[in-house]
Amino acid sequence: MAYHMAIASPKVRAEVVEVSGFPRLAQRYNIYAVPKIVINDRVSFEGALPEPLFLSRVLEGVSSPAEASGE
Amino acid sequence: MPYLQAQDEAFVRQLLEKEMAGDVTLDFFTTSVSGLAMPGTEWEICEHARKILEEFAALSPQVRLQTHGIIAESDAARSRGIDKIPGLAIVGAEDYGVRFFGMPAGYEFSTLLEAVIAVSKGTSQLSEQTLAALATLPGDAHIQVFVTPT
Repeated sequence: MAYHMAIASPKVRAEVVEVSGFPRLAQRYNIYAVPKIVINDRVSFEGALPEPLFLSRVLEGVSSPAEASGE
Repeated sequence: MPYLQAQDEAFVRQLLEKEMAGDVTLDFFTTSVSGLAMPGTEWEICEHARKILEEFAALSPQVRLQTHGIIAESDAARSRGIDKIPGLAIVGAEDYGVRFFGMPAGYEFSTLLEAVIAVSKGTSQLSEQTLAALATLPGDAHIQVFVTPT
């Protein structure tokens, strides 16, 4: 889903990170379950979401102020 | 020992031949391409990832693998947004911002395969509503999807 959003919009960058090689990132983002999706370091959720809900989290991540970080 | 078994190789080769549209470049950033890197966990992961990608790229004339040292080619890494290794930029007719970090093994090999096909086509499989919302996105979105290899 993230990759398709990146293809659809020049404003979206999508990265899949296989965390076993990046333990510090796993720690930083509190990865206890996968997939864990983090948007603009502000909004995060675990597990697969249907497209409309995934989109709503992306929109939330783009529009929410940085201070509202849940991380 | 090759990563891909003969039957998997045949399946992937056929899938790429059937599904790919345009060519795809895999810009792979690793520890070093000069042989000066020190063995260690990061080096081992990078080497394993490189071997997988070499096997993968050999399965289609439309997939080109370019290997870069992240220190020797730090400008290229920066321009591709690669800040850790192993890091891979999957680039088609344009750079859509599709990246993969870590080992593309196990279930994540399928992620790589799907990403290459999607980038090759340059079109997404999203609904009209989602496309409309993305077209008016008020700012940049950096989506990170954290996964494990199993």
